[in-house]
Amino acid sequence: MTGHGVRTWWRRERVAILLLPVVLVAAVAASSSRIDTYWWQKGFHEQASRDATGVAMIDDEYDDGFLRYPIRAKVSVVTAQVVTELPDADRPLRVPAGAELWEVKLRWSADPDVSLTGCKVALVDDRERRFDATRSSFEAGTTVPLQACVPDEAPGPQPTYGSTKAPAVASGEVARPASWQTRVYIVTPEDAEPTAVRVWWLLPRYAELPLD
Amino acid sequence: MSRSQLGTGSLVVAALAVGQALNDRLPDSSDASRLFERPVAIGETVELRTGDLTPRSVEGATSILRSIGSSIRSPGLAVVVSFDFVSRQVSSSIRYGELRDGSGRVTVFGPSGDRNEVTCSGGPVGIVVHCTAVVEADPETLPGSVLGLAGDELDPRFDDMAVIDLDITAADVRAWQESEELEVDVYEVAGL
Repeated sequence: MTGHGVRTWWRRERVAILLLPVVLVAAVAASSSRIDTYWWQKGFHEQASRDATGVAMIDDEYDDGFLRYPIRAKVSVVTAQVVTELPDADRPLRVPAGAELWEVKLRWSADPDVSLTGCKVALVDDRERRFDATRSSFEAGTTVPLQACVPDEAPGPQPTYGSTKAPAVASGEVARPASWQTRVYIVTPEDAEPTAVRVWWLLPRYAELPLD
Repeated sequence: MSRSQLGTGSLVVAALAVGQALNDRLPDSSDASRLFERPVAIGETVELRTGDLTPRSVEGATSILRSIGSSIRSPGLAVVVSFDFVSRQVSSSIRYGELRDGSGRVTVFGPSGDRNEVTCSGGPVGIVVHCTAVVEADPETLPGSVLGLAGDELDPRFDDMAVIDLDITAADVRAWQESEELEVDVYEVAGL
């Protein structure tokens, strides 16, 4: 091809060449649904904001395409410390070999009409290890609270899965107060140095509460 | 036909040939997605993606009684492999097992079988949990068997799998066939 021919080719194809980057971006975007489904939605990617006093504002939503309701609450850490016995324990505390038990006290506030069912709480350490709150990881009798994020005696509105009915307070239960505290117990290895408390309902949203 | 058309046609044919050559040489999807096998002997520790696994013992019997109450009476032999698992970053489980017996057969099992079962729910991170895998087999095929253990029974692809040399001899098989009922501690967190 002569020099004149090359110039003619560039002139003739200039629109197509300019569109190539656009087409490339469109092709990547069109094949990105799996990134959202298998990575973004599966991990801790949207951290809730915190104010200057360390209070995190959780703003999430349950939506299974059938039932939909908001999950909104404010949460902060009151204390987090290793304990060797539980208040009012009806049997001795037993933890796994090489482990210790952390008691995390959380302060909450939320609209009593908001359902806060199904939250999860964990400690994370400086090695990015996550220690989930699991009652079966230790033995302490019946004094361990059942719920990590709401009062056992007044958990507030409960959803009915498989129904479009809005979450409601169960008959015979009192309404949840506007603010309250919870106690959560978490087993870690003795060498763990937790740096934060993590709270979440549905990934990718979560709240991270640094420990002093 | 012009030179330009001839050139374009040649490029298309060349692209198709390169595509075909690549397709012939790349592994098919089942091969490419196979588990990463990590051989380990009894008493040694292998690092899997989700944690450290240590096979502790291999036993067998025609009848076993699980600590959760259920029992198995086998026309062949029930093989019990005890192992320890320590989750590394997040609480993880071992839910996939496959016995590759000496005759080349593969018996796949998960966490909730009627008879064959691997029981190893995720314990706290960094804490030892004692787990078991129970699988029935034809006694004659047991010498030369290996046991594979991995995380997810529904989709174990691309993940690590511990491959344990069970080191079962014909003498072991004969002894197990004549043994008493074997009591099995199915699962426990160390120290609880």
